[in-house]
Amino acid sequence: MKKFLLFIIGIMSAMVGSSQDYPIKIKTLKNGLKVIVCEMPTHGFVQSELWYRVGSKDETVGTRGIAHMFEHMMFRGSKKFPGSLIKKIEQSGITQFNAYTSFDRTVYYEYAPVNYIDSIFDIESDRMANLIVTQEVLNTEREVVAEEFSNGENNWYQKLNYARYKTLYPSGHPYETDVIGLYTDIEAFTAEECIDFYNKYYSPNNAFLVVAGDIKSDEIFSKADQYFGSITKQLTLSKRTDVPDLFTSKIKQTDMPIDYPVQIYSFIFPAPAIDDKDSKAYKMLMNLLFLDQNSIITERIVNKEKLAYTLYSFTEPEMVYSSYSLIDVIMSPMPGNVKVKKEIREEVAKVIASGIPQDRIDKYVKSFEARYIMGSYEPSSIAYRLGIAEFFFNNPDAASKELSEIKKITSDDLKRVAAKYLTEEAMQFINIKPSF
Amino acid sequence: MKNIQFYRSILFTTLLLILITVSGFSQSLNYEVYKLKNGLQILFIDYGTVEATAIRMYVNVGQKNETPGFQGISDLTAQALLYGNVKYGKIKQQDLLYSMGTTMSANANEKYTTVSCSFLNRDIDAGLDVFAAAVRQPLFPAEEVKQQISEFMQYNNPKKMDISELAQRFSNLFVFGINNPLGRNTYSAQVGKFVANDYKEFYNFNYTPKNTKIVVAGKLDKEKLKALFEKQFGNWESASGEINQVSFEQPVFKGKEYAFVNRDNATQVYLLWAKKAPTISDKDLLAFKMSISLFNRRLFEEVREKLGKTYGIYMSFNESQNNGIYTVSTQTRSKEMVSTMQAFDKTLENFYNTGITENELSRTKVKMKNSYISINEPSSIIGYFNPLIYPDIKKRLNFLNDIDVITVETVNKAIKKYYNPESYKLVIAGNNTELSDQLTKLKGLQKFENNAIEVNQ
Repeated sequence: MKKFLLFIIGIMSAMVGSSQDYPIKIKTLKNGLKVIVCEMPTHGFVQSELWYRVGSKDETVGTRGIAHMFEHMMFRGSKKFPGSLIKKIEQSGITQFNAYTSFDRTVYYEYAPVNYIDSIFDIESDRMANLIVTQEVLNTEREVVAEEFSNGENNWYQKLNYARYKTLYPSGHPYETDVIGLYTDIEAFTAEECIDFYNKYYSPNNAFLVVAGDIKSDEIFSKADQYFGSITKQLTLSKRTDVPDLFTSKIKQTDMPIDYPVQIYSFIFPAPAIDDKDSKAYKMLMNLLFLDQNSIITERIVNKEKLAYTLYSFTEPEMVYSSYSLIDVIMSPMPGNVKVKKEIREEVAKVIASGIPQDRIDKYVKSFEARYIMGSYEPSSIAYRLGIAEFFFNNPDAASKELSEIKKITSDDLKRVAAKYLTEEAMQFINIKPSF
Repeated sequence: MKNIQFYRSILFTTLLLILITVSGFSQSLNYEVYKLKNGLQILFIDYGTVEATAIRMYVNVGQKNETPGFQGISDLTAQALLYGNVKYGKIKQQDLLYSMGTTMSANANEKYTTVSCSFLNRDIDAGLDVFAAAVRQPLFPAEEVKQQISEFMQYNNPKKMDISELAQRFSNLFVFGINNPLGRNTYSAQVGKFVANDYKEFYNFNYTPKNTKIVVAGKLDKEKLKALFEKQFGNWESASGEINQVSFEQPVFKGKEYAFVNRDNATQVYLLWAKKAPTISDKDLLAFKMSISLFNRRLFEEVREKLGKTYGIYMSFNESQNNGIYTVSTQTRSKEMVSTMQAFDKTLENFYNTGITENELSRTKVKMKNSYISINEPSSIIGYFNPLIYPDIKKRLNFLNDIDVITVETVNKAIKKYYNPESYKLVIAGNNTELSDQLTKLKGLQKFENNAIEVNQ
């Protein structure tokens, strides 16, 4: 059965698509690793990104934070490259490298002259297949992660986010715990838990590779096969279906103290998963209403009436599962601030009743298009776009279709989405005030 | 959405990223210097593959020019350029920029002020019109200035600042002293006295064609751009000329000096070391720069990877600030303060004693060159050609060749000069209650009250 499965997913599929102004080519290796290549001019440099479909959403009780912790461990040595991988990567001449962990994914990336692609693939394939995890190194690295956690505790806004996050999601939701995890769990991870996590999620069929730059796709496919092709471990992929409903879930706290001299009204709305039909209209709606530099609410309460300093959101716009959008309105702490809440509700109600004026939608589309073009210099930007498209839609070509899909969104679409996600029943609120 | 929260584990590459944002080019660069009759110099650089243009205006005014009582006015004035002008109100300006898919930014640092924007070439006429209106005809509306000052005051309470910010503020004071404009901090009671007219006077005196230079990079139609700049800036006149060449004494380091500032409830301590660095005119500047990534690697290896003391420890040197210092900073748990200081001392001493090897230098040269050559965005290349810092463009273009002639001996000589382990100024910000025992071990420790930054002479 396993061999048959490998055969099915291992059919070498070479597809040709188009992304931005540059051609993209795709090939899937026998072990399921999809390789996406974009040939673009970059002064002889290449961006390589290895995306794993694992994030904090995959953690269980007792191991909160292990996805991020494990990202650190991926720099602590593999069979062919023992010891500090950071040192090895630097010594290899790779210009830039780093990694990040989010709720849904973990991404490792490098930027280097094109002739370093062998070094990049050599390191990435070895740590995909042969990572070394010892308790001794884990004990040191957990101290580093604990300090990263504490850095947040010593920043007023991040500290607020830690505390607030605990009040948001219902038990059992994939985003129940923030990516950084729980301090008590971080302090207690064992090497065995890390190795289990690695064996379960760091497999070629749970990852894909994006390469963009002054390269030839056939050469990249050949090298990818050479370095990654022999890795055989496989993950049985699945998406959870038992995700708690956020429309009916209530946050646990509606007032919070803060050790900083500002007041924050935090508006919380349910947000659709990325594959939901409402996703793109929802994103446009939230930008036009709250977050863009000239959004309806920024224009009224920040620019015209000067009741608030700014509006801010730290939530991710694209998520695998339904999530919450948080909009923070940051103000001077004053008794009259209640007016801000009233006015925001008024504007939300207007959108639910009448949608958003077409001229604002037209500007959004024009702005999106311009930003899209201006974001085409860097191979890192192109690789990110392609990665997002592949990660969420299993189709890197979706990146180039986003503009045409946005152009189809109408005021009625925004009105319908607002009436579903921004109602008084769906909206929740936290009043955050100085504690001194 | 405005921000995506990720947890990045390896910030060691920060230094490389900084290099990339300030520099890089191909030596076969196609450029042209164009001067308007009023003295305004514009540097055009053909760069990039996208039909777009990046513009940055450099004004030779910054913290260095601020007199006592006027700390912060250069940055606040720069920000207020975007609050509306004779031609476009703030909301209309934002709306136009939004439609063009761009934003305009303006800020001032220790040495100079920048106003930056990028446009698609199809929008360049309208874009330059918005840009020119903002920088040439600002109104500094009283209500906008009042809101700006209110926000500033909200975020500048020294008893509530994060430890990183506290350390930075007190380090300026500790290193440069109150008689140096770089040592005087901006604070609420002083900024609270500013009115819109202060901005106007500051603007009229400092924002002049002869005190300003502009760099334009992208896929350029130069003849069209020249005509546009003539139209938008050709009639810009000012009674003031090139006025802001300020010099002041370099900071003096006498052994290991320590200072402390308290932050109630902090669970970590922030350590910020300052040390002497070369200035832009020093011959060993490039040799010193070669040492930076190697010292950073050693700090990272010793303090983070081997000991797990911290999430990050970074050496930082900003060549364009030209302030004669570099810093090393880290944040660690309170109980590890002294042991982290010892780890730093040991690493510094080892680096001073051993210097670097031929192999390390070779790798550093390759990395440094790659960091420059790999730049793709015109908005990054215009930082490399900052005309206030690098007035000789031909000399600047020779940078890659300059790298080649650096030897191990010259780098190690620079290390002996700038990494003396017995000399630095360290500012510690943290919780006095948790740190008191460890603080008693520091000889000559100077304790600052939180409001000590609220003085101006």
